[in-house]
Amino acid sequence: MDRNSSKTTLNNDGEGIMATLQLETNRHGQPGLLALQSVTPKLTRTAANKRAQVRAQEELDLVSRLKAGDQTALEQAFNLYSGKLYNVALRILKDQSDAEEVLQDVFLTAFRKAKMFHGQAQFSTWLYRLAVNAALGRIRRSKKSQEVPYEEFLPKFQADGHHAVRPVVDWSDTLDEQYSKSETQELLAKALDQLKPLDRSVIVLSDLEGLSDKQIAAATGLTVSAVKTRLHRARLFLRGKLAVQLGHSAA
Amino acid sequence: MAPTKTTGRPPSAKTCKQIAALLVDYLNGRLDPTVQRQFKKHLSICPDCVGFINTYKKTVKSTAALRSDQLPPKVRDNLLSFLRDKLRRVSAVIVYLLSQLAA
Repeated sequence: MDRNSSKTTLNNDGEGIMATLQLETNRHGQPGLLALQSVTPKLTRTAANKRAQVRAQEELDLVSRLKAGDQTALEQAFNLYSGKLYNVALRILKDQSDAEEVLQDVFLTAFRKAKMFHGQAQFSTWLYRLAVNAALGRIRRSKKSQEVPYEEFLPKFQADGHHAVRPVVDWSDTLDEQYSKSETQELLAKALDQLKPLDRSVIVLSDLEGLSDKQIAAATGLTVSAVKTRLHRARLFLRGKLAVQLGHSAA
Repeated sequence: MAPTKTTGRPPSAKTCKQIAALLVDYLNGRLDPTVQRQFKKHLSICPDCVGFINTYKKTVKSTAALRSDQLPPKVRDNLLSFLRDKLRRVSAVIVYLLSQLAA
């Protein structure tokens, strides 16, 4: 941003603040999130809704076949969800063979306990829940964790509510100038690894998988309010890590 | 910078700290209209918060780029043979139990 300019603008890839506020659907076509793409035209949204309905019906059919013990349904579920679930487990656990074992648990449980799925959430959300529970359970048992204190990387405010360090440097454009996409991804992946496992799970489900706060609450057993708090702190921590990397204050 | 109590901040005006706390709802497009107005008003006079929000959004966007749904072929093969093997055993047990019932 031009600091000499009297006009204050948001540089969200060319979109204005209102465009962001008006968005209703998320990045991956599920209800609830967000905001970093252009506004979806109405017609496209209708088509997306229809596709979502078809997907929901297919999911219901798949669940009833699983409940009936149809083994081909398990393979179908595997083909649909294994890639996403593997990467969620891998991000949480940071170990390929652990992530693979989590997936064994998830799909066996999905087959054996399909009758326990009563449709109170989406089937995919239930699978995410199985995966997150299995992954966090492993971390608890192994007691391995390299989380770091967040405080150093969080913003600071004065008693009157102003930013403690001013001006706040807008490095949103300079990040891509100084680091390649893969370098930024590597930085963020390392920073993600330093989050508390539950915070990491929340940000992975939100910002990588595109789940809504409500879906994340269902997948983690947290309240929606706790999801938002954890998500916000996790994002602030990652933001602070990038700021420090660029030579600016995290505050 | 935002107005403060000492400079006559109206009771409804938000501080930078309060603006930061709204960012999850803001990115979800879930601010209620009154709060949204206060939010926009604050941003119109506070370049620090604009910089803060731009970098927050940039972080969220860059994090989203870590998403992958690739399953390495070897992992896929391992998992499928594990599941098929487990299911074969389950089937074998069921066939055995049925045969016992029939006998």
